[in-house]
Amino acid sequence: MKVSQQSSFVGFLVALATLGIASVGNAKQPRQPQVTSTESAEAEPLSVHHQTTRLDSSPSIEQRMARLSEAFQNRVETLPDEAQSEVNRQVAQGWADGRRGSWLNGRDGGWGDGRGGSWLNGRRGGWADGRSGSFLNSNRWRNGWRDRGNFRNWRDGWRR
Amino acid sequence: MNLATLDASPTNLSAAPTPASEAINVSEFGPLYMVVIQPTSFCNLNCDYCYLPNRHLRHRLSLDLIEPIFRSVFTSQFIKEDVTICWHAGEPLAAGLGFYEAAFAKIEVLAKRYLPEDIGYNHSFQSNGLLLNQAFCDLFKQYPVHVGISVDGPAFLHDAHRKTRAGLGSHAGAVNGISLLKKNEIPTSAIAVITADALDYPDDVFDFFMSQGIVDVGFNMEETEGINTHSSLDQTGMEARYRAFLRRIWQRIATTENAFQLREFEEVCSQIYTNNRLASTDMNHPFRLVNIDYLGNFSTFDPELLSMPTKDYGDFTLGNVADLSFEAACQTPKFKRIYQDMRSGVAQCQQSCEYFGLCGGGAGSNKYWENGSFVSTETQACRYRVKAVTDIVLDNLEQSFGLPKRG
Repeated sequence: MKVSQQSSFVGFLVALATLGIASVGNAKQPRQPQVTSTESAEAEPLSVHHQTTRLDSSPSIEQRMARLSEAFQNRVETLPDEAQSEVNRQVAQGWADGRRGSWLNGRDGGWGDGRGGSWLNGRRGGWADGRSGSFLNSNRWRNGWRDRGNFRNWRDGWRR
Repeated sequence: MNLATLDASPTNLSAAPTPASEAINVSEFGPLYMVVIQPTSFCNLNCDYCYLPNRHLRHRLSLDLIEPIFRSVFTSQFIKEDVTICWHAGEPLAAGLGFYEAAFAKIEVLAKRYLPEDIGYNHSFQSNGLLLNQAFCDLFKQYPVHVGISVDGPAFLHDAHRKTRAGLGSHAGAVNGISLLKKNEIPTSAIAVITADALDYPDDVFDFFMSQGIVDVGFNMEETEGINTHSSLDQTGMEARYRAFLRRIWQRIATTENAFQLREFEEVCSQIYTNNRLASTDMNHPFRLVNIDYLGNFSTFDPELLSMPTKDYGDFTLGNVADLSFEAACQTPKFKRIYQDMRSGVAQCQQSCEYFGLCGGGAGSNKYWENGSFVSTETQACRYRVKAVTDIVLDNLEQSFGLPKRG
């Protein structure tokens, strides 16, 4: 399964997991998640105030999500520059914007399988940190009304 | 901040009630991104899980109301981004082709007159598909239109609940509608109501959508809502079966070299990937949604609340587009009471639930019909839609990435 051929978040993340980069479990300190309302142009640090008492040592939902976010970040950073830009662009569009097929730009061979292209070494700014990047706050996925006729992040065809 | 953001702090969310005489600052409301219009309450189907009480009545929105409706929408201070006009409930196509030909043309003119140049609009329908024909498709191709089809999977599941008034199944009609939309290359997605009947058939449901080329799918678990006072998912053991159903769907998606997207999984994956959390939702934040009935009466929050009489609030109509602006409606005692209760309920969710960042405090309609009050927390809807989905996504992704579940 190639990362480059996935056009859903599930497919993308599962493919990302197969890249075989070591020690995601030893990820760096997770970043503070950003909170938005239904959708926002900016973000604020999330403060979680729930008073749920955990009776065992299992990680909280927030801890599990943050850990996964960090693992994703680490994997994406292994992608070549061009590929990272494309990932960010797709996420900015809300990923599933109604276009089918590969979200890559038509390259065969794929950079996501470790065979093609050069691998990025340095960290790109803006990965989901809401500061230097732009895609974070453009993400339109949310817990929205369930019964609407265009629940997809359908972006084509706005009449202006 | 430029936004309709409810500050995440509990102090803010649980603020003291706004006195009826005190003006509400509406600059925090919106931005309005969807106008849900109910052009007719009538539906040509009689699904046994429907929440709408008046789906047998053949009222229809007058074309004379298009101008006041869209003048109100397009000139509202809540309009700050592209807006979707969603034609909905009962069956929107029952309003007729001629209605939409005229309405779309009028809206086009009104958009040019009132809508800021940098803001666009499109149309969407949530339809059972039976009334679709080539003439509708020809119209839809002239405008930016997306159609969501309500279809519950294969015929044996769909026809068990989605029947005509004569008691006949409607699956063939829905599939015919999908074929027409595909043939005309009109953007199409599907919503499937998941009842107890479906839980043993995840593969059949998945394979049906793949066979139809419908790869944008949302699962609406059968809710206790409106006149549907009991859900088939209420029974003991259903939640475990629902989770097993979703787990199998995840397996199918994850092993399919195609682009099947289940809305529920995409939402959670997106939030994890972007490390983004919600402080509110479209259903509990004012004027993200505006809902308008066939008389021009409007509400905000959940569209399911429009035209729904309750003993505690009366109905949820805030006014009529003919004589009240959306902004002015925010200063009415009725709005203030509903809003305050919504906020209190969201604050309680934030205080008590570790899934809050994925949920944003849920939908008031679920809270009202399940718990009897907006000022409440967990519902069956949030257990199925948010908690079960999140758990399955996290379990599977942790496994894929080799992360230990505990410790």
